[in-house]
Amino acid sequence: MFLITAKLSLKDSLKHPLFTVLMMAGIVVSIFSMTTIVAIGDGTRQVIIQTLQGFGFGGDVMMVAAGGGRIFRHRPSGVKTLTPADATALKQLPFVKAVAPRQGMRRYPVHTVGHSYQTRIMGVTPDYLRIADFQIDMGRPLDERDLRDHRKVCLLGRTVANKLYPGNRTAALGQFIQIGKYFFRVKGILSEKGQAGRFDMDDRVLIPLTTSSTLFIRDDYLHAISVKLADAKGIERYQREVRALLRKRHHLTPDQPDDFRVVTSLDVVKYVNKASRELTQLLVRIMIISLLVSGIIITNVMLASISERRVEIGIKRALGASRRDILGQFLFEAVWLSLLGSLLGMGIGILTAFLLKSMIPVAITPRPFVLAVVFGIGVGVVSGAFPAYRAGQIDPIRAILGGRA
Amino acid sequence: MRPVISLEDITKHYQTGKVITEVLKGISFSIHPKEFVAIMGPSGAGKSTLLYILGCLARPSSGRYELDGVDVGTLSDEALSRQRNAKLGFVFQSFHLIPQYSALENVLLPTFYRKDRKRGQKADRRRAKELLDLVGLDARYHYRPGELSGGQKQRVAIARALMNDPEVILADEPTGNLDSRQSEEIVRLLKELNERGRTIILVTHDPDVGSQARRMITIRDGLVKSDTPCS
Ligand SMILES: Nc1ncnc2c1ncn2[C@@H]1O[C@H](COP(=O)(O)OP(=O)(O)O)[C@@H](O)[C@H]1O
Ligand SMILES: [Mg+2]
Repeated sequence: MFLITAKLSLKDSLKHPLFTVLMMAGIVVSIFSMTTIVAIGDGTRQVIIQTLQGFGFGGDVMMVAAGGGRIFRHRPSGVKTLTPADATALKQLPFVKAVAPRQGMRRYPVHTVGHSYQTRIMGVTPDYLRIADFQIDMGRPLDERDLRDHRKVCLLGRTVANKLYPGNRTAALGQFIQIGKYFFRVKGILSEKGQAGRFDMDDRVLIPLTTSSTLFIRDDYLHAISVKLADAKGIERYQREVRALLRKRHHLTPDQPDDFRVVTSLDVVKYVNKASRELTQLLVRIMIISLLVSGIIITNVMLASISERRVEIGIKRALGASRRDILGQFLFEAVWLSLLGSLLGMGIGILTAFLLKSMIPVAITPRPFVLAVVFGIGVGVVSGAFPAYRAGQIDPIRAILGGRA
Repeated sequence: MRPVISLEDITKHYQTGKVITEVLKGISFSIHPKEFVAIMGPSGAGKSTLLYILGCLARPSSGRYELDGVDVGTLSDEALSRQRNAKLGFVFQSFHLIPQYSALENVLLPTFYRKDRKRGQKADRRRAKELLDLVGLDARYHYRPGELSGGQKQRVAIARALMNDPEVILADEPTGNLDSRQSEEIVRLLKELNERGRTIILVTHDPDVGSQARRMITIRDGLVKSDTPCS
């Protein structure tokens, strides 16, 4: 019985191809855009997570960054309140194993005789490598003497070495390169760390913190301090203690906000969750609007289609169809059309996501499928209900007589 | 024998805006099983209106209508639909087949709205084919209405009217859109069906067609003008 109902319903809608296409078009478009947006959203979320993981946020590391406000920023702030003395004070705390104060994350032009490249210059201390989990591939790491004597030495990230010494990055070792207007000797090359999401961890040059203070920043304030903890368990308590210490050191009164941020891996998780919640809310808003639009389209096209099909309705009524039977027929039609439309839209959306993959992060998850099915049926029922009801109310005689009064 | 249809003082008026048109002004008659009745009268006399009331598609403004012992005046839309489906078979002037369905599907259509499942699907299809054979469609089961002549369409419509084995066949000007040869064939088919025991009510303004019935009810000005057996 269901098969016959489906077959006749298919014949009914093929009889009026324009209406059928119009009805489906709305939902195809909205599910298509939804699928694409979900794919981009999921992709972006994955990239955020990978990026943050790549930054070496272990459970036993905490980052103190200069400047208050949002926990993640793209550029270092110009806030000058975080100092080497703060780093020393932090190191005195019983639960702190090591600290890595650092300066600068901006891009400078770097030159050799034949090549130039723009990269991030960071002033760091020897402990930085250990805390940020960098290895030395060739040469030697920075040491205390480099720091004490403000030496112009540097460690090249793998990407920078490849750019400046294409084909033979080993040749960089011991050479002089120009950073800004100063010459630095290449003391070592870092092992490859790879991408953190879209962020290239190997695109950087490390120099002694003291050197960056004298030559580049011309001041000794810090942009960040990475803090390695003795254990990860008490991290929330440690965070509170670090915050209290810094507030005291910076002479902040209770009504003044923090002029620094203390970020832990827990914050990272929270941040990712918040970002993904915001993304989801945006998605939901877009979805509601586009489904509303396609729902309105379906309702109107169906009303037009029904007035075109009055005779058919009249005939079926004469043969014994009740109002409810007619309502059911049109509701059934609305549901399968919009379900088909949404599956089609999902297909096109996934295809589009695949095509976009090389340009922006996308991820294909089962979510769009579930959404397409749920919304396909939902929109069909909701937007088909009123026209189907109207179809049931049509006076069979008027319909049979072809609209005669 | 109990009448299959009995009308008592049926009236029907239409209201368009403030204008009230009184179409039927008090119609009473009974029709017994196996009768073949022609309802005659000039155009606009209210014949179709009467037939649609008999067909449970319209409700009378007043009066009492009993179909097969049931007072249909009190029935819900659902119950009226069931009456139409089980007890009545319609044949229309312009055939009113559903163009996107095959002849066979058109004949099967009344079974989709049948609430009791006496026959299975296979048996339905077999019966539909038998009926198409009976009305003389020569095995064109899978033709679309558009591929059939007017006479053939009306045969399909008659087969469809017979599908649920109704008590009464109601035909509104069934020959109105046919040429004279096809008209004769359709009238002959209806006559044959009546001889096999079908109750048929035929609305027509054509005396040649009406005279083929065994009883003729003439309507004029919303009233029964005459009710006579035909020779
Ligand atoms: N739905 C309606 N609304 C208003 N007037 C109608 C309606 N249906 C029929 N009529 C009027 O009722 C009269 C009888 O119509 P009808 O029953 O079709 O007559 P017949 O079939 O005898 O030609 C006509 O004057 C017609 O205009
Ligand atoms: Mg008429």
